[in-house]
Amino acid sequence: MNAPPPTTPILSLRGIGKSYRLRGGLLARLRGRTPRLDALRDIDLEIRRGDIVGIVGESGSGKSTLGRIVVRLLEPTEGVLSFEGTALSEGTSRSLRAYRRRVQMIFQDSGSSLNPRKRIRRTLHEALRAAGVPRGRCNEEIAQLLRRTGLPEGILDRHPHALSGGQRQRVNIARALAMQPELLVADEPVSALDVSLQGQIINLLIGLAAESGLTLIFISHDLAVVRRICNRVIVMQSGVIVESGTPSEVMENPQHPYTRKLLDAVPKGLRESA
Amino acid sequence: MSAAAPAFLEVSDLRIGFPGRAGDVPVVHGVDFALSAGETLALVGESGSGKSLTALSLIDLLPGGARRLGGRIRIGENQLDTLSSNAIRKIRGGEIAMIFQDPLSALNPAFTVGRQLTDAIRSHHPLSRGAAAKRAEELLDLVGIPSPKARLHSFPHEMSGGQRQRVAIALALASGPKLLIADEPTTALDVTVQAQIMALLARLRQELGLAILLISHNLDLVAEICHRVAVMYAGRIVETNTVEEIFRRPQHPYTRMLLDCIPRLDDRPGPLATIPGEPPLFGKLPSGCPFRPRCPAAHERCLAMPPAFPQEAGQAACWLAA
Amino acid sequence: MNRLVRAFGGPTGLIGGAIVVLVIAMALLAPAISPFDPDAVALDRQLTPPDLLHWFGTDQSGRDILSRVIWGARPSLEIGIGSVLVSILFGLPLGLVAGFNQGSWVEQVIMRTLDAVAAIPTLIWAIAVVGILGVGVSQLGPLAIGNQTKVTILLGLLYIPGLARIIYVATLVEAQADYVAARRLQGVPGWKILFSDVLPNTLSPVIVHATLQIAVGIILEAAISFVGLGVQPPAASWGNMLAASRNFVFSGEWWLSVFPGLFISITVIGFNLMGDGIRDVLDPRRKLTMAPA
Repeated sequence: MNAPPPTTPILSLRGIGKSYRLRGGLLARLRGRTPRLDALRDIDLEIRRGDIVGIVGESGSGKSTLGRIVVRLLEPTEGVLSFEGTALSEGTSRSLRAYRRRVQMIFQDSGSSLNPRKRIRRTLHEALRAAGVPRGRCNEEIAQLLRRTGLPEGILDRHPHALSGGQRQRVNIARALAMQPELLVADEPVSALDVSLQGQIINLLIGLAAESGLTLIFISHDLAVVRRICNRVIVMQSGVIVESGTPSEVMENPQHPYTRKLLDAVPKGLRESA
Repeated sequence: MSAAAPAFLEVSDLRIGFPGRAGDVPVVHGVDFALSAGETLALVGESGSGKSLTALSLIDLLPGGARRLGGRIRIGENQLDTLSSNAIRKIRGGEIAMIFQDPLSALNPAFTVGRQLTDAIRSHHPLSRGAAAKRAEELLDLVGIPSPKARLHSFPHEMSGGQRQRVAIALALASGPKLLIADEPTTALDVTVQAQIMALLARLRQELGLAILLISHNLDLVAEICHRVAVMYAGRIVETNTVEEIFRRPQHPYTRMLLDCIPRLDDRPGPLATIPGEPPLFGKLPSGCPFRPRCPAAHERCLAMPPAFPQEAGQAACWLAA
Repeated sequence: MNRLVRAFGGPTGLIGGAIVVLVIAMALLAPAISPFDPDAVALDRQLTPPDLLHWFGTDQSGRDILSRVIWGARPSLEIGIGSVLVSILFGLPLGLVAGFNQGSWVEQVIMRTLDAVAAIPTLIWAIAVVGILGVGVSQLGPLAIGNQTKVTILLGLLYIPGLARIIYVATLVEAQADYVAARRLQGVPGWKILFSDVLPNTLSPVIVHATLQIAVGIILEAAISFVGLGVQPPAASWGNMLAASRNFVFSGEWWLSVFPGLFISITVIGFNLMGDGIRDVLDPRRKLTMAPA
């Protein structure tokens, strides 16, 4: 892969904010003073090509909102998001669609990440067609996707509910890969899975990232996982970044009290330190 | 726990199955365990291991046509299989209580927390409305809800996930149970809240002398509050021991791998340890040892014959275990 | 047999389905199975109680009640089913568009308008409008609209708010689903997502609602015909047969009112049982409980 000069980040966020207007009472609305909820404030972030960035935080920290802004499922209310140096905030819907294909998202296996009425073959076929793969090549490409994500061919004619949670997450990944993205946002991709299967999915993700030069944003509440697979960590609380750095910096020498609180809460088990 | 104290709960040879086209398909194949007052036992395994079914069978709430195919369950003085369903319902509401992964499933969104608690209390104890409200306040205080009196007037949706789980626990305690079953009680919660709920369960066990049966897929999580661990795989307990021994000398390869695959904060960067493959589907057990297809140490004997179930602590259902 | 029971969501659903099939077959085969001409007046056989020749007896003009009940199934079913089709034709797109554009002015305009319509009781609306338009054939430009068509369209329009709201709520839920987000990320335009992904997932509640609504339509037809604004005599409908039997209820000629009433009840029960059965079949939660925990 011919990487552009390493000085241009693949993605940069400048002063990104997202706020929602709450309904409020009639009186408040007439005065133009509806209460505002800041889901994100002043997010500055630069992501280099090939990075694996972990975003950790608890519910309400804004980590998922940030992920959805990066793939432009949500529009920021403030700030500028640039992809390979080009600002995207004033995008037309056509350029927005083009951008979205270069960034993809892996969703949590919440039971709604795959259309319950579509067989897996159809889900993958539609993704490939949307990526511009000619109809005649789709079967070949589907086989390729199955190989890359370690899925057996037999699942193609099943509906999502007939798959195991681990298989569904692999399909989720295959669907994203069909678009040949450059940046992948994984939002809690394993939190609905058993510990015994989480490793399989995470290893698959980092393997694919290494293999095709993907940049990966990994949103998680699991600090131990982030520690192992990411080369940068961002800790978020109440819509702001409270700490960032390399995993060893953040985990071994946390500066912010919230980071320390999160680290303390990780169950340690009874194993002696390695 | 001393072996002399008679266990409060005793389960032996419990078998559970789902109805299939050709008769019942067994999914829990003979589970034995015992649990005493003031003790916490963790049932640990992957989804599909039968751990939740085992727990649900104790309160006679098996889902979707599943039913007990055999075995005995003794709760206190009562042998569950000899009781009428009416008597079982009494035990279920009285001596056994259960909390779930999603506290909202136990709470009625239309009523205040106080109303639900007082209703639950009054259905078990002949108390006046005022006295029951007082007791409800005490329960909320017991589970660590700040300003419990004011909170009686809150609705479930006005509370955070952690607080809802606390209320669900208070509701479970309303009948004065001796056994609390907690099925993945913190899976839906944030890490920091998870630690608080686990600490709460440990405190309740100590203060009320509760027996707690904790269902989880994460050994590290249960380790902090349980005394004994029973590891379940494909409908069987494959190893049971004190939590210290499970961590120090895991006997079954599955237990060992389960421990290894939980990432830890002091790990070096790199890929995660995994258990290859997936647990077997219901009713489709491989020949020989059920764990064989995923086991790195499997050999011919594992293919030929299933290993014996562990009879006592320190044994494992494995040909290789000492 | 077992599969048939499952397809209708249990034995009661199957019974409902069987009733519906029988009633529809009866209406379709009316020319073949009705023993007499339903409109043939026989002045020598007025008000005869049920006997071997006239199983359900005859009415004040000597017409065979059984034949009239068989033929009367047609307008009842036509109005019941037709009005639901009319409501789907308009309610489905309205609900979809409102649900998919949550938070926009489109949603507000559609839903508030429907709320306003829904605030007026259906039966009173229907009677008022038919009363104003008159029961005869209305000329709408080149179209001649008969009274039955009028009632069908009117009921259909009045059902729209209820149906649209059901689709609206289902669409709101589906539009939030991650698989819809995934389609957006593939650059698929919104209208295409709406039709190929959202719409199929909102259909189950619509089907259930429609089935139950057919039963309501049959009752409303009877009510409107009972007050003389529906199907006009001499054509038979269950509603106007009941209306005509009014004068005989207390004079002992029970068969005039009992048989049409019985068929209304059985048909309504049939559609209701079938609707409940379909709900059980389509309810995804039922599938969840089938899967082992």
